[in-house]
Amino acid sequence: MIIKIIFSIVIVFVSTIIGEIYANGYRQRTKMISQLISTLQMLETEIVYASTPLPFLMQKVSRRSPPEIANLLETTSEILLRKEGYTFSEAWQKGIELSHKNSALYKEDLALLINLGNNLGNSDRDNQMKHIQLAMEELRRNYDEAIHLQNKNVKLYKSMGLLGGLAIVIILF
Amino acid sequence: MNPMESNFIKKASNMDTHLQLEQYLCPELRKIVGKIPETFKTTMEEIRLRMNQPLMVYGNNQDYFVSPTGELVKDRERGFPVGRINIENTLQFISNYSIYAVEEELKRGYITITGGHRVGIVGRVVTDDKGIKTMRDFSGLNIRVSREKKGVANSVMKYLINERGDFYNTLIVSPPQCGKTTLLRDIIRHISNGMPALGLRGLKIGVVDERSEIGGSFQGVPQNDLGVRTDLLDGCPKAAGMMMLIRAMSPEVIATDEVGKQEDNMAIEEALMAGIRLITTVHGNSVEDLYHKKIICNLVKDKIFQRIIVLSNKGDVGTIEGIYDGNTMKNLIMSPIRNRVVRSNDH
Repeated sequence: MIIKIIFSIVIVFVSTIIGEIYANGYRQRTKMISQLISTLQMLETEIVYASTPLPFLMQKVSRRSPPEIANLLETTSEILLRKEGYTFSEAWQKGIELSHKNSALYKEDLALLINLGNNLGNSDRDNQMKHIQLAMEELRRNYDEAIHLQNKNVKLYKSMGLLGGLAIVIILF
Repeated sequence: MNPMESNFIKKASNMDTHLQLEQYLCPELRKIVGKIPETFKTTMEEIRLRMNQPLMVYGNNQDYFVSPTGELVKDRERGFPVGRINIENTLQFISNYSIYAVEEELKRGYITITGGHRVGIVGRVVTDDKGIKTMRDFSGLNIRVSREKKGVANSVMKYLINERGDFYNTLIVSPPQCGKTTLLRDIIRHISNGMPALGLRGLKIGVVDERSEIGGSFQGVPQNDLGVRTDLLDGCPKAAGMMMLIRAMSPEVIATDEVGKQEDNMAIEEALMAGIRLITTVHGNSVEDLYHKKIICNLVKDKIFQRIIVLSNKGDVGTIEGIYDGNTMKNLIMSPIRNRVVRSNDH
């Protein structure tokens, strides 16, 4: 009897955690997008007011960014400083591939970033500002969508985890 | 006198110079330029990229097309055609991946890179009511190799210092591409470091480097050795810069490139009044040429310059045709001083 009860508790516990993990993916994405937006804000300020060249700018901004984004910026800047002949957009893409293999961001979020990378650095300040603002605008749209998904799915997955666990227990015993 | 004495120039690390330069080319061109024979690379003065035209290099007073395998050819059909992508990528490396960070430089039409090399840029210029705003659609690059030739002034210095170890006001006269700035730079270094053998103690020297050619500054740091007592004002208009130096840095000597404007005159007078020595350069082929230039002519007639050095590229770049005494207009050297360039690996 006691074994049965312990077993049931474990099953419910595990399935709740699985539900939580799924739900967390949605929360992570919204968090990441909002962090990305503030990082782009910093990029814009650095470009427009300080004209810092990209490799140094990335290092500077990475120090003030959360770890996942800092990773992307640092990887890119390292590739650039090695001067192996990669253009900025190539280095940026590599950085995204290396640092966002398992990230919570969706393909469409990453595509936005890659697109921004194709334009960063190759025009004057006014133009750079426009590109960054456009990317931020699009990220905000993705953010709204992410929030919407989060509101819809977090509760769903959480309760599905719990209820699923209970269902298994009832069926088994 | 023996024109050969102490006139062997050690070229500063040639290997490093072009390795450093090749880093700035896009990978495709890097490979091709890497295959150019070493012997040519040590004398290479320019690499030229023009859109849809063959890659060209200039050296030994003539230009060559470069084939995809790095051969120097005279037949343009065999040259490697430079495309838009080559120019754009090369410019990325030159601008440190950030065109927006070199906006000021684009307005002037050139960028100075590490090592003091200079990259000239052409393209479509965008203007607004304030003048040139920026440049885009880049169509050509000219990478000029800068070789710091330490020692070119060794044989000249003794004519520029009097028996009390005082420096004479000096004017360097030279046609373009004859090593005018190179000579000026080396004289600056000698004045700044001092030459105990000639009784010259190191003097405080202020340099106004309007076109960033003397110091070859990269992000404000001179890439060429200008000596220990040198203060460099980079990118500053000459007249304003001279005044700034007089007021702020108490120099004993002021050096600048290519005077000739009306306002320069004022600044020069100001400097002379403050007891400051001058060294400057001017375009021209001979002393007679000076009399056709208004500002310089007056200065020469007033016997401001006690020494006038005339350069030419007869024989070699940087041949010193004559050193004239500004008071008597007599040539102080018997025969032209040739700048023998000796390659050395012992540094």
